[in-house]
Amino acid sequence: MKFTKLTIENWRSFYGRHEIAFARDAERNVTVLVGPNGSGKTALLNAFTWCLFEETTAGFRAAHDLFNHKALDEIAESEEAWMRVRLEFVHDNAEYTIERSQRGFRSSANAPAECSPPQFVATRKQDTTEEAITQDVLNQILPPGLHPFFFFPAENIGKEIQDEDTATLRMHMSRAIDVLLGIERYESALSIISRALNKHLKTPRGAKYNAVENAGHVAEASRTAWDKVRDKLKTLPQVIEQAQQHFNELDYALKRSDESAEIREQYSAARKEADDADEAILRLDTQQREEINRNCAVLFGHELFTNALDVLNKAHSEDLIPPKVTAGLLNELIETRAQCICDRALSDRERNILIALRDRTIDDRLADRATNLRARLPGLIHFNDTERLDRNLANAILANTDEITRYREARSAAEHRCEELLAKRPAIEHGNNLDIRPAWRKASERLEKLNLELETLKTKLPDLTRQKEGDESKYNAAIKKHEKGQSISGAREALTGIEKVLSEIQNGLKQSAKGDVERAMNAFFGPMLFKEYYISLKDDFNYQVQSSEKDGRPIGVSSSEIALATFAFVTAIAALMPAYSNLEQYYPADEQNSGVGNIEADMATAYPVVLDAPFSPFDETYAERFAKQLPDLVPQSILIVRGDQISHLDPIQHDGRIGAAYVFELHTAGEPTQQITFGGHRLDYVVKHTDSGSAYTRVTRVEV
Amino acid sequence: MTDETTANTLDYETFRKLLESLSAEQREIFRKLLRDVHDRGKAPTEADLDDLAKKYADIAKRLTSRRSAGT
Repeated sequence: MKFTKLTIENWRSFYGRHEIAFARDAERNVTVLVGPNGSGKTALLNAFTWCLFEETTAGFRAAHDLFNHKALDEIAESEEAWMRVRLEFVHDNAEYTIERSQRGFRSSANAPAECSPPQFVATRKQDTTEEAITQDVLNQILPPGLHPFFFFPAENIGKEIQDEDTATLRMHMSRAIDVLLGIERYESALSIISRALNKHLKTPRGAKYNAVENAGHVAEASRTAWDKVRDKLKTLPQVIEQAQQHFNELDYALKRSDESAEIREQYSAARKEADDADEAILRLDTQQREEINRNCAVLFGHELFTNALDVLNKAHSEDLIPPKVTAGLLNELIETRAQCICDRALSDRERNILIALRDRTIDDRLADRATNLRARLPGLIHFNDTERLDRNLANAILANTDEITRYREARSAAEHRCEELLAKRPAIEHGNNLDIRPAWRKASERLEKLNLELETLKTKLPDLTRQKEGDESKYNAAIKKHEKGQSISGAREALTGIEKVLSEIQNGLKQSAKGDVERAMNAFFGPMLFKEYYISLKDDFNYQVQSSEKDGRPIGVSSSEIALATFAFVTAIAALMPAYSNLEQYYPADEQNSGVGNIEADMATAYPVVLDAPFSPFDETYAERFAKQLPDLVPQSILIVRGDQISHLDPIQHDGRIGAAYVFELHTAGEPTQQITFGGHRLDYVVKHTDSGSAYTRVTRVEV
Repeated sequence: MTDETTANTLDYETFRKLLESLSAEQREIFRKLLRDVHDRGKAPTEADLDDLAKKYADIAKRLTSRRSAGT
């Protein structure tokens, strides 16, 4: 890469348009820019960085105040002016033009002039083809992270060394290695992974499996409760129907039982009547028999037997009437029983009559008379046996007999009524309503309870359904969350694996590159020194100057030597850049490919370096040596020097290594006019002007 | 070059083994990640980092879920 031309227009102190054509010849490869303090030397360095990256170097004052004040003030109302920086360079056989600009304008006469945001235009021309390129393409050619070294403000080195505070510079150097190697992208990748892990792959809360199990148990319990109620609701109507049927039967039975109660009462009354009549008959009959027996002799007298004997005798003699009373019966009366049928003992007389009677055949009438005395009573009364009959007693017995007859009739009627009522058996036999009622009540209560349960369950089911669905939903959510957690856990594992490999590669690359940088630094450093020193890079990319003669032990070095080592680093970056600019070469070397760790810096193809105040850190001896060696080590260098340091350039001017030179004329009201001698010319250096406007700078080309 | 630096040098074999220690899916993410970052040509901004982090978290998740789904 070589810079061809820088065009600045109204850039900072540079008023108007100025062109600086850089020396590119292999022999005359140094461009010198000379200027007094305040003329814009550092501003010129920053013209590079602003044009290329829209960035300025550390410590550059008023980094946003870039438009030349004089030019800005001169803008009239409704007019505009431009601030532009254009850098042209060649790289890989292509011509690049990079321009960044700002428009200045004034909206009204009284308003201050304003600046628009920067505009960027870049083109690449190769052969006959010209195309626009983006900032990203440019960044790949010239990594923005390296600009502190390609465009190096050397003035600060001296300060840092003097202050013994080199931390910032070391940090920049370490950073430069990162940029050079593309370590930045590993760092960015690691940063991205770190963010992904910490922000986008956070394991969700409740993703553990026991949360799923718990939610599963809850859902299962809800489902079981819901199933139970649903099943119950399915079977309950049938149970209720059966209970209803049972209740209906009992209800019917109860009603029928109520209806039959009257008939049952009637039956009971008839039954009682019959039973009462029966009892009365038995009582009267017993009473009558006892009365007859007690009074049989009185009632019938002895005549009965006498008359009977007479009748039997007559019948026997006339042989008219067949005997009915057998000798056996009389024998029993006479011999065995020896007593009356009323259980009274027979008197002797009665016994004798019976014996006599036994000797005769007793006819039917007599027998009848003898065996049924009570039946004979009406006849006896009727047939005028009054003399031998106790009529009162007989009438009483007859009356008794009539009463018995009435009772018998009453009983018969009652029995008949009972039979009629019994014809209605079903009604009577249906049971007692007193027995049915408790069962009816129980069935009724059960039915009511079942219906209430049904209603309760119907009311309960929607709640349980909601509960079940809610719990199932939570369960599904828990599963999803768990699955998400599993997925995230897997993703974390994947990225953690990459992170580990990235870190190891990053570290390995950096360590590998350290060898490349170390060799490149020594390739620059060695020729500059008067002694056999060697720069050793440490792990943290701090370097140490060692004596190669003393087994690499650190040795005491001067501040110039330390500054030289810093320039060695700058040059190493510039020299390694062409090789490292290809992505694939960031990878380590294999047998066929020369990669990181195996790259020898080629000073002939090194990128140009722009050094601001390059002689500031050196003493006289090293400043001269540095100036003399630089053109041989770097293909193109641009040196921005103060007027009081141009004497260091004498040797290379003498050798004809300076291909281009420019002087910055500072026009100011604050200082007297000064001139400078450079390249054999007497040149204006500071020009005192009398107007009250801002100081500004013009660029004058010097023939060398 | 000192022994210390030699010991820490990443040779091609080590580099290859490191890459091979990644699964095919991880290598894919690895390459995309570096290519994406490299193609930007400048350090990502905070917003870029977030976008890229989300993108690679999504890729990793998708690959993981696809693997777990057996596809």
